[in-house]
Amino acid sequence: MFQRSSAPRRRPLRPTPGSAAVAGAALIAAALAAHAASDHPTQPPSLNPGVATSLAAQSPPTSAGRMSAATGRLSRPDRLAIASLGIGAPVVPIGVTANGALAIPSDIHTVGWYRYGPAPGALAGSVVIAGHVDSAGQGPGALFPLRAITVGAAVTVTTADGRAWHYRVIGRQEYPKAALPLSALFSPAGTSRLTLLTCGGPFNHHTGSYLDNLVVTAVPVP
Amino acid sequence: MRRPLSLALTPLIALAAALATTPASAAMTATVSVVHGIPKTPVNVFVNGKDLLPDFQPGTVAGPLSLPPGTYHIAVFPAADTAGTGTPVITATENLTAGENASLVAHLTSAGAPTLTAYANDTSPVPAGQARIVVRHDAAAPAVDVRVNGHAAFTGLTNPGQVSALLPAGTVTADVVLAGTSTVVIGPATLNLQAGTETIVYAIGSATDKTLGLVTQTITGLGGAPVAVPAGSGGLAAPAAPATASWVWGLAAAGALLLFAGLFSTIRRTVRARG
Repeated sequence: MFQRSSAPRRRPLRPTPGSAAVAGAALIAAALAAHAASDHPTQPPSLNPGVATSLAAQSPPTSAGRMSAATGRLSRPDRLAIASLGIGAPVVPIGVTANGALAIPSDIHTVGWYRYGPAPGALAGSVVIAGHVDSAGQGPGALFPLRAITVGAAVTVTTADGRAWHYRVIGRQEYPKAALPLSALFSPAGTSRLTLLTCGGPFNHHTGSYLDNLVVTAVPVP
Repeated sequence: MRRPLSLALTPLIALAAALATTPASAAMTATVSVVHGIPKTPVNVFVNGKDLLPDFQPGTVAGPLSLPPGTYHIAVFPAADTAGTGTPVITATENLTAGENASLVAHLTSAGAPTLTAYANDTSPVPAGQARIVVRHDAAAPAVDVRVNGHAAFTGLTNPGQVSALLPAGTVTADVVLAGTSTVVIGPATLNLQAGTETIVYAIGSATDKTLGLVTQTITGLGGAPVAVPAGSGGLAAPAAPATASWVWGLAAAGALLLFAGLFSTIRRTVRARG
């Protein structure tokens, strides 16, 4: 056969020693590049980016007076449940630390409701519930699975008076901590919504903290 | 903070319309509250010739009103003078600018004469979990100290001066004493200072007539947000670091093997060529 007859005239198909060395160096370089990239991995796609901030700018359907009146008789959140992710955690009221950071419960299996903001049922503003994604000493936290949330997922907040408030996820976004739109996320104004906060993104082992915050936005189910 | 007499009140006509429909943008209008601090004297407040606050009762606050910027002529008449044809108790003129938040207070001077004072309200954000308290001396009374939870928080306040402070949100007890004494002239009053709000307390009335009292106005929506959300310290949720490491190291090892094999063969061939 043609191929067969010509084959002996050709150089052997095995790689030459020099090309093996080049290929090896290339592989090592690729490995090094991949390792470097793992410090700044590609983020998972954000779902409905900007929804968390755009809602804060929208006018609530009712006046501020009615909003505060409603807030006054509302009960505090007592439990958070996201069945699709197997999340179920007790909720406690939280404020801020001495330096002004959100005082998230140190027990990573408990999440906190920002008590200076709206409660479920408020006619406007952001109900904020936050929890640790994990801790160095305690392992994965209550909100560890949250990064896998999908748009449309059902979220239920049960308040201390026994009422269940149902929400539907409309957005998921990761922000570098320095770029977190805190005013919008914690705003008592704008469309009535639930904002879930935890940490996410790459981890800085030197500082023991994550570089990003994960923000999940949900709206009340009518 | 205090501005010369005269405030601009309103085309309250527009006001009613504004309240009934969509609130105008805060940046395009002025926000005005009207405080009545003259005891025993219900009044009609005429603005640009219209009776916009008929039978306005002492010790109450009207508004906040969203008003277009402009010049407003205000005349306050006794409630019985519904036509506004008699002698006004107070007259004033005020310019309102877009975006400002003001309180117009009808009150007594320290000598007991009716007057109007316009205050520019501080609507800057307050830190998360805190509240702003403002005290305004609008009473016919001498200098006073304001005590909060028993401590003299503000001292030597005189009509029509004001003082303010940021406090942690919560309930406080406040009273007013004659400056430098423990003689209580107003209160004590319990104030629920909610986070992100500003509570403005007006001391009104007359010491001589024993009509001293307090009127409060609240501005909401000033709440600052927390400065950070520290929500993890374990690193377990960082994207796929362990998995990446394993295949990366495999790749590197394969590369090292190839490199070694290649170099070895090159050396061997070179040696053989020399031999």
